[in-house]
Amino acid sequence: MNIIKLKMYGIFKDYLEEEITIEIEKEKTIEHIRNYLTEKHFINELKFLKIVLQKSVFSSNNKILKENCIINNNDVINLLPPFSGG
Amino acid sequence: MKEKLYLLISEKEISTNQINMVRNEEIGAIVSFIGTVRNVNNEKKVKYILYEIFEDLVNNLIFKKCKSYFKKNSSLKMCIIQRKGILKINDINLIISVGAKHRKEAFMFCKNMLEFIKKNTPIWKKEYYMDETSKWINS
Repeated sequence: MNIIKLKMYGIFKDYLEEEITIEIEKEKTIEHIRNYLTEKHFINELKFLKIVLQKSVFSSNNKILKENCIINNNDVINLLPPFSGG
Repeated sequence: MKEKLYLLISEKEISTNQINMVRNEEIGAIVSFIGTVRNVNNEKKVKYILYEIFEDLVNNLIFKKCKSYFKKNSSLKMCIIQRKGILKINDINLIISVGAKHRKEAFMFCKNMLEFIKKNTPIWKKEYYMDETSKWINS
């Protein structure tokens, strides 16, 4: 298993801890993290966050990550909700 | 690149004096966008706004975009200043100033950079309303 740190931004910070640690199987991708959050965290009263998650992206090391990007042990991944700035 | 781009994310109030950063003897036109906080959005009265910014990634993305612009037009100069934190009504939240040889490029790159920042950079705005509710925009 890989241990991943997920850092929250924007609306996600209002409803989750600023940083959460998750365990995910080896050789899994960003897509799997997305599914994991949908199944384990964005449930019940947080179900509405699934829609936000669909429009969100992930980043690490100053880059936006593609859905098929493989996650490594001890990676720190940022969950970025839809942008609204400028 | 340092002499072509001035990029700042600031917690303090920003003024329009910084546009002098894009002036030199090669520049024949300066176009500036100045974004300010207005008091009504989606028919709700706004009390104040919070800007949250993922600074490292914003800096990286804007830096890369500017590099591509400067490749196309070597005499361009840009000044980009983004506020973060709590802003009140009328505060300036964003300044983009572009200096170019000619007005056509100045207008074009200013507009392009504004659209890029709005759509592609991790900056989030939360509006706080007079009725005590609040909303993250686009979420």
